[in-house]
Amino acid sequence: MKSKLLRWLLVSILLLAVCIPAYKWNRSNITRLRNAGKTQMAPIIMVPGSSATQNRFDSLIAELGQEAPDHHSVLKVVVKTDGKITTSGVVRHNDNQPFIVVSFENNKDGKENIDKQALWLNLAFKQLVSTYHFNHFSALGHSNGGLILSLFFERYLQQTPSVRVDKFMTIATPYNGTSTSTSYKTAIFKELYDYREGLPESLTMYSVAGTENYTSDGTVPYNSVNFAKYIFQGEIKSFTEITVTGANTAHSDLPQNKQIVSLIGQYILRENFPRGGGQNRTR
Amino acid sequence: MTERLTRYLIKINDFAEHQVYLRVIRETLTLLFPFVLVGTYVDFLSQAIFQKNGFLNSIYHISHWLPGFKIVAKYLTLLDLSINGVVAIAVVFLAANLATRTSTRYNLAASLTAVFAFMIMNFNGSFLAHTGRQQVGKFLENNLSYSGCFLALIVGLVTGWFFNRLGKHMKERDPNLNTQLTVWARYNVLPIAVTLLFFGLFSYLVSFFSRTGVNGLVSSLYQLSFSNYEWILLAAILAAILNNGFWFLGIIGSFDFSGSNSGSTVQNLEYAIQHGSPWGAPNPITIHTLFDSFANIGGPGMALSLLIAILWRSRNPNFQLAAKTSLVPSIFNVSQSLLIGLPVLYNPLLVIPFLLSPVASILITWIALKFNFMPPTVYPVSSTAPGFMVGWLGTGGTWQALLVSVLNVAVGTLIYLPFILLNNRIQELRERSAAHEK
Repeated sequence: MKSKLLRWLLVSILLLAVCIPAYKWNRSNITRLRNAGKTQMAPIIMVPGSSATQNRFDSLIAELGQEAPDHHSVLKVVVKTDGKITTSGVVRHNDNQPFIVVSFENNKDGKENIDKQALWLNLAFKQLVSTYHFNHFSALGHSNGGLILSLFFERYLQQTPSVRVDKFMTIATPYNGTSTSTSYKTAIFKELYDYREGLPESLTMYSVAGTENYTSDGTVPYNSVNFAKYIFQGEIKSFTEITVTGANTAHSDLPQNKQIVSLIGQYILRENFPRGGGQNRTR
Repeated sequence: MTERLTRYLIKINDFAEHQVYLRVIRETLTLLFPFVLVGTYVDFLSQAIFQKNGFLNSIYHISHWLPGFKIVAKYLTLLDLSINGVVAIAVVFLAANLATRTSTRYNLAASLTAVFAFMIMNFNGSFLAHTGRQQVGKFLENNLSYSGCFLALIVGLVTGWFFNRLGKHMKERDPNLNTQLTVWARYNVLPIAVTLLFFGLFSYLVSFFSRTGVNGLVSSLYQLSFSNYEWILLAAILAAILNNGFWFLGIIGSFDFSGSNSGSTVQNLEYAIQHGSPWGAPNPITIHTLFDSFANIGGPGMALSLLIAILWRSRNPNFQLAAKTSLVPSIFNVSQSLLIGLPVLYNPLLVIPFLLSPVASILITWIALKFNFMPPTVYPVSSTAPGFMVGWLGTGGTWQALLVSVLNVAVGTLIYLPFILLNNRIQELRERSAAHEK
């Protein structure tokens, strides 16, 4: 009886001694497979909000340039209403993480315009992929730019199945328009909600809200930013909400807000940033 | 009903045991068992530990900390190739020897002739047609290993038959047989010449049709019918029966499924890498996800199930010995010694569960995949990974796949069990009749 028990114990220990390292090996194997197919080139595509030009992120990029250990080149792309694109700036040939700012000739607000802008973004994106041969990228959207990118991920990214989006951050993006309600659903939210199953499952997403007071950043209601969870939560790999308060939290100041710049550095660039709102910690 | 069936099966078993040539095959494999056992352990050590993709090497990183890893690896490869790599030559010698054992006069001559005849049959046809500077092997080396066993048995038996027909029978042993050349030559030159010329002609004819020799011809025949299947389940079942059936006959490794649907396998992998999960892969049901991952546990015919059934209930000492000695390699899917030692191969009773239990596994797996109970296996897994873990690892660690694998092994064991019990009864009957005769 006792020896039987001992034998079972031995068998289970042996089984565990095989299963646990086997599982570990399996995990690392899968990660290796995943990375093996990735291109070195992984741009960060930035889309500004309505009424903003291709220069909207200049101060952000300048801030990042001061803080980030690596220097990134910047390509600015403007999509005309007929789908043609014009570019300014260059991608340095040894820069694997260039910033690509995509803006639109028609940069007006409103649901119909945003729908069109998502389509235009898709056109520009396809040209960028064929020019720079990348198969993964990260994205950053400010204000309505976040809506355009979200729509693009939901409806159009499947058209280029070889390309994956790694990380996505939206800053003060009004997922429920300018509505301050917690229950009323605007047309743009309904559209984003209806297409949410098109979102790539492997996406890691951060939605950053800024608040001057308890309800808004002066332009976009906090409640509207909060509607992101109804779209992303449960549909993608991970969804994180971040709320930034304090100095420089007015809607248009947010992209150059030190805390947000630091968040971009940590989460999107994955570089060793000095943390804590740009203040260097001393030890 | 069951009683009648049992009696019928026992009758078949008796019949098979009294067929001269079937008995020769069995005895050949029995005599071969110790060699195969050594070969199996060498194979297991070489494949699972001392190879870059070996399962145990992968999970314990043995190559990193074991000194002399490469030297041992080379040594084992040498042993592997020269034991397992030429095992069919021993088979052909033994088969011809046992088939002609009633006559001492040409017994040795027949065995030797059979070896030559076997080499003739495995001559590489493209060596003759070859004109360029590229090196081409004179013999089809792959056919000298386990995959050539079926051909070896046939050649051995046919050679034996030739000698039994052509050689002159003599009641007593001629004392001068081995010492006097003239006597030996006079008795044997005719059957030797006829046999060698016959096989030479046959091999030459075959080389016109196929560049890979006789075995290549046979396997290319049934690969044709599977290049374009519509009903994957049916195809998988047929493929499993064919594959295991040919295993049963000894044409091992003639089937290579991984090539026939590699396109869908790559698509699945690509999908899983992009989406970070195997759920919803575009080709959930393929021969790879059904047969390779879930119906080949421990080796052909769900060898792990057979092993468990024997260790659990069998009272046949031969079965027990074969199972116990093959336990460790079988866990890592190296199971030649189990299949030859029983001998499962050419055992008319075991052929039924040997063919049925993989089919049952395919059905269970098909249902699980069809109703989305588990994702398909998409990630590559080492071929020496324990069979019951292949599904689990191949899906990136989903417990549902592990459950299905364990269920498959359990069902396979239940399918083998009645036949193991039947074997116990035959054993008992034989012992009782032996006791009566005394």
